[in-house]
Amino acid sequence: MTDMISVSGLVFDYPGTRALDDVGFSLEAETITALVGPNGAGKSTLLRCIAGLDTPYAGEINVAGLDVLAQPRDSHRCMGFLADSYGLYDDLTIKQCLLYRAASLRMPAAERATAVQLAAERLAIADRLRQKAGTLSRGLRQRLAIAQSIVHHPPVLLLDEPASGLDPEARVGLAETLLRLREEGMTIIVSSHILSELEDYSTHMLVLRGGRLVEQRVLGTTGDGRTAAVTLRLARHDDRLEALLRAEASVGQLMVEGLMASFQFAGDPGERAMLLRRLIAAELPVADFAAERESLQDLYMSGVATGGVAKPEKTA
Amino acid sequence: MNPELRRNLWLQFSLTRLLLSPAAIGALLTLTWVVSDASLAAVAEVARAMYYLIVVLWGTRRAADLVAEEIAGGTWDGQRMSALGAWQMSWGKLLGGTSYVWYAAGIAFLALLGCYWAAGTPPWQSGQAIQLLRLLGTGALAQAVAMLVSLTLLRRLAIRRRLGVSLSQVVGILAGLLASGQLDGGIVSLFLPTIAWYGRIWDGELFSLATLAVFLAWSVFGIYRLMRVELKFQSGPWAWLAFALFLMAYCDGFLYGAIQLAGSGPGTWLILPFLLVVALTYLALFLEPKDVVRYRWLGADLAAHEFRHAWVLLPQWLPVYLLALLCAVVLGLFSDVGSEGLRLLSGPFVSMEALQHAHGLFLYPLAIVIYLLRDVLVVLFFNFGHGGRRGDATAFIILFLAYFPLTGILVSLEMTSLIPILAPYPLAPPLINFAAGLVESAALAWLVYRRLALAGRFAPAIA
Repeated sequence: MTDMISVSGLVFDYPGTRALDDVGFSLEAETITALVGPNGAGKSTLLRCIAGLDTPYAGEINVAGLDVLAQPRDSHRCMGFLADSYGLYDDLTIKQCLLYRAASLRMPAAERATAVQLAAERLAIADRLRQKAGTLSRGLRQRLAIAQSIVHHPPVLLLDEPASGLDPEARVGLAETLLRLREEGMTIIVSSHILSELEDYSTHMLVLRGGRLVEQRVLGTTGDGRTAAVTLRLARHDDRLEALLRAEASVGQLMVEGLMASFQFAGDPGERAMLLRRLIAAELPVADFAAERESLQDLYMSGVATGGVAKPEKTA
Repeated sequence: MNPELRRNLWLQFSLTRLLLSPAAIGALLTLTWVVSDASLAAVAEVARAMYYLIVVLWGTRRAADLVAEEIAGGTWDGQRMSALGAWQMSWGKLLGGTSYVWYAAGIAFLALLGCYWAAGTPPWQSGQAIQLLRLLGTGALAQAVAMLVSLTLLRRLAIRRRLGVSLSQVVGILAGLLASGQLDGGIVSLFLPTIAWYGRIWDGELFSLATLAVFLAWSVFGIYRLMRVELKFQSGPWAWLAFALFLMAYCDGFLYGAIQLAGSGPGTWLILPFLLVVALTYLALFLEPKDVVRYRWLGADLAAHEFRHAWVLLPQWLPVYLLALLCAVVLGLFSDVGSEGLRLLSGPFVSMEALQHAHGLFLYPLAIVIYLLRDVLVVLFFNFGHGGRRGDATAFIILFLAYFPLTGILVSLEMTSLIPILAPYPLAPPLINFAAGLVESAALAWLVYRRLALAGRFAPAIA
């Protein structure tokens, strides 16, 4: 897969504070990356730099093949950005808000009505197009704000603390929306310090601390992006289970207890599929076989605790 | 249609508002007609007053609030994330944001035209057209200036406060009053029916209308340039320099006759432009944000010979300062400031008579430029410190004290030899002025460099 967002050597200073210090990473298309870190870590600054709203001192930012620093206005056409303190034009209807956004992003006039309808349908607000933004609930305002950000169907969406202030139901709705947008081909970065909500939809994680990137990883794997914790459950007891797994070179830290086995598997999802195929070919009665998803909280804490600077690597 | 204009039209107009203005203005004019025994002149006066009130008072408030309300409403980032160009954003916002004001003012304006017509003076007769154009231009200028000031304050973050909006509105109103002839007592149109400019005699009304149009164009250009900065377009610092050159040429035209009559040398031509450029350097210095990080970037780029990038980072005051320096050097070379120079250089502490006996007065502009450098460094020093947000105010007070009360005290105590410690003094020997100014500038340059270096010792964002 190709990189949709690549950042290298990013440096951003505030007086007396280096907010971003040599930050670099690349993100593949059609992923949702959780941008996490403590308050003041530089998350919002990083997102604003990627969005072309703030200019860094040094570094390069490339979004969908465009150099954001050299062409900030052009790059806005390939991304949507929702700031944490977003606002809406309360006296405009949802349709007017979306039409204005589409026009201000230079969408051809003939395509705007369709784009507005599509964005409204994606965010489930198509039945309220004539309603004024000022009359919407917090959750609906959030949906309208995201609809505005994606009305031009950008390949990249940047969201800064999107769930802040939302009730649990609206948060679930937000997670579903983000997953749907990813399925439709968008690459999304979501900044938040509420890890539980990121866990539901994120595929990757970037950890910032003190302006530095301290961790970048694919979620559901350990730091190298290739090792997964796997659990296996048999439908009925089979004495060969432990021996068959021990025979596999990629299996480590094996624990077998009754019908259950858990182990670390060093390999990508394709190699994991091959292992499963071999076990079934050996007529092992496999009922469940799943890579365990590590808690985002645990991953974050381990990443922050190490405190070191991660080698930003291309994740597979 | 410009999307920004259309959005503003959506926001500004509703059926109720469309009906409300003509109803209110019509009612007031009808009342005037009734109580004045059907006097067309009275109705015209009320229509004119209403037009001014709407377009200048209300219009400047709207124009000053255009960007501030976007920031307060959290929509400014969304606008900056659009793909609209700076020009589209500028005129779409200025025209669209004030469109309802112009709708209401337009009704009053049409009523005024109707009164003239009914009185047997069609708008195109006997200079009426110029006056009517001036009415329109006054409103446009007042609103453009208000928006220009609000964008300037936005760069200093002061627009976030309502005070910033009010300040922008007040400046816009002053510009409107000046353009309408209310602030200068109508000097141009009433007492000076003709204007001598570069030796030619111009019709006063026509000249003031042309001047209004030119300054309106500069205001709109200023809005466009500041919008470019907001939208992250990269621009060099030549706009303020261009305005300085225009102002120099414009103002010098009024001195033409006086200089010709006095038979002064060519250096005399530069004395007024020189003083204007000095004033514009101070103005740019105080109006521009003085971000220590940006100055560090500039230093790093210059050190790395990244001159193209450094050009974009140059502060607006610097090219204008260099222009002032050039003027001072040329004035020194011509060894003459002329009688106009004597008049312009005299001040509260030095009379024209005293100046006539001053030695080496032609070198005094150079001393002014050296002290200007010192003052620039004072402003930068206080802005680069921890109390940077109040740096401008602190520097302004210190410079004000040095130039006025303290210098005045030394004059009254007849200790004028000490004045060069505080400010350039035309009666002091040029070398004393130069030496004092240069020593102070050197000391301040070192202090500023230290603060720049300190700003580069970064504390981590999280301890």
